[in-house]
Amino acid sequence: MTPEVPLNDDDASAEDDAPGAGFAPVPDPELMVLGDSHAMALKAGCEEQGLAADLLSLSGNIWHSGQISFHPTFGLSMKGRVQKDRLDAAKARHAPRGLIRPDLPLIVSAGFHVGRLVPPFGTRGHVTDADGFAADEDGLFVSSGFLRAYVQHHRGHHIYTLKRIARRAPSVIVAPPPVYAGINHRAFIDTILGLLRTNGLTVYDPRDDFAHLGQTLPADYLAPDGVHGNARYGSEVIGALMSRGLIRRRAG
Amino acid sequence: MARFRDGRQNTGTTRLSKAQNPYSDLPPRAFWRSGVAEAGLFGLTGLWKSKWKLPADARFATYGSCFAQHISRALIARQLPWVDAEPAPGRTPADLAKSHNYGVFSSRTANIYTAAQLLLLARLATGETAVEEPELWDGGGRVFDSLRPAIEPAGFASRDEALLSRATMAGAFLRSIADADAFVFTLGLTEGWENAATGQPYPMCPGTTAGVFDAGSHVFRNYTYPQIMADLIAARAIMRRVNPDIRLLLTVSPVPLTATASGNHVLVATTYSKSVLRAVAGDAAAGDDATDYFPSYEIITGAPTRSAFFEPNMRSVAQAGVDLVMSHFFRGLDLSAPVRAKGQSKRALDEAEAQAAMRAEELACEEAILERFNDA
Repeated sequence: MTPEVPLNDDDASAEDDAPGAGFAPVPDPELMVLGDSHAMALKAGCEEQGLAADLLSLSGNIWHSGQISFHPTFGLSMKGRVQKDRLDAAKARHAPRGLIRPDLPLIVSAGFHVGRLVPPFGTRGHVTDADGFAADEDGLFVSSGFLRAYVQHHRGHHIYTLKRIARRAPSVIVAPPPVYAGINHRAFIDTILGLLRTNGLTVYDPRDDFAHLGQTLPADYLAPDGVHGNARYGSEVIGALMSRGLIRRRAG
Repeated sequence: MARFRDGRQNTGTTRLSKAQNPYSDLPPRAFWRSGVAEAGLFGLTGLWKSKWKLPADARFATYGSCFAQHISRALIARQLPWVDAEPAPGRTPADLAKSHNYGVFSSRTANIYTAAQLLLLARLATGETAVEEPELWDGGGRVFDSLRPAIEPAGFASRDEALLSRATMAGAFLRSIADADAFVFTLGLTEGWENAATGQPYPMCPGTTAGVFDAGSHVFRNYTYPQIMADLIAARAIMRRVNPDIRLLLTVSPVPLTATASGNHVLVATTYSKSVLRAVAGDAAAGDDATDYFPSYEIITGAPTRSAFFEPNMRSVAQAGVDLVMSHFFRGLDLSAPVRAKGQSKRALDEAEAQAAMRAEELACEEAILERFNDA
């Protein structure tokens, strides 16, 4: 069975050459965009909206594999060496106050990384809804209870990390742009969103404001790679976050 | 002078010499002293020899009561092709697979305790019984499949979801029949419960694991030999329509009843139940070349063991007993026929490899839940 989501949607190869990996730091940022490769569209959106935002974007592979942790005393940490220079540079920019702190709100694009979950889940023909089951005569339907437990297993560490981060800094977690219409993709996003909400985290699902454009984003909202949002997309997401009161411009 | 049916006359005076005695040419295993008493438990030989010569890559589907799970695991451990028609999704951790009953049997039927259940599942798989027909039970905001009330630890979110899961199981059960060379089935119980109006058999009495017991609509059955034989033969006939070459290997679970609703003492009820099942299995095998009986029941419960293979609860079978059973199984299995050109699909091989890593050590046995209701 062909994976419905290309494996490079949020991995390092898709990201390392993307704009933002070596962006110009913003002095005295009013918020921080933290996350995987989708963070870069959000950072671009901040610029479009006139928000001074710092950026820490790490490979989706790094997030997926659970290398990122947060400790109230020692801050954000990562196990591996790949892209550690980015974390170190971000920490240096915010020393001595710290990267994760109450006066630096966070827009977080992390915890999903479904490009690493959906393909292996579906390799044996497993589907999460009636349409998918009807489409494959050998399809194996999986209950929502199992899917939730499966996601909890693979994303429990991420949710725990995001909870600890959110206790320290005001955070809104933004789901990835609606790029894939695969049968299991949406179920994974929804399940992760549900778990994040259940854990008291503030989340924003772009689908709420982009659904009128179709199941997936039209090309004029996409980066050239076709799997990331562009600055226009990012700008509209940031605008939506502001209109919903999920982020605010700095007073004065 | 008596005359026997074959016309031979019994003179009453013929004295057969030792060489002419029908017992004199029998092998040592035919005599209790040499076959059992002197051989000792671990010296027993020739307990079973498969009727069939199967190819070295023969595929086995396994179903039945709790004890059947041991056969699944032993086949996997021996790297024999075990049909896993409903595997867990990729990268499912072992404990999650186990909690949702993936990898226990060749599809997610859960335990099949009675021949009546087997027949219903065969009809469900072939469409003779509609997927929607067997009951679904509501409880605590969740939905439970009356055919597999404990298949999901917390039931299903909706009736649609329960039916999709049941349809998946039915399709996988059908594929496992179609893909298997041998369908290994362990008969577990004669006792069961049915819906009085529809006749639907239940794997567990409603109200024990899920559902609500209603004395007006739920009736106890202690299936008799003729009923069990009829259901077994009917199920076998359906399986043969799906796969004319399939062989049926029957075993009887040596695990005693957790509880009986027969009114008898549970020890007496157990002996009755196992005796009937043993007789059905033996006769079903004796009357059909494509049906065989493997004596796991005798190996565990026979006099040579002095019940040593039962755990302290005198019900669960210790691993050493399982190992002995399976050593006889593999010793009697004949896999000397040539490997067929048709191999397993890559997907099946990938699945087998991945699933092998996910086997949980503990067995899932819903019937043991009945012990919860023992206030003694």
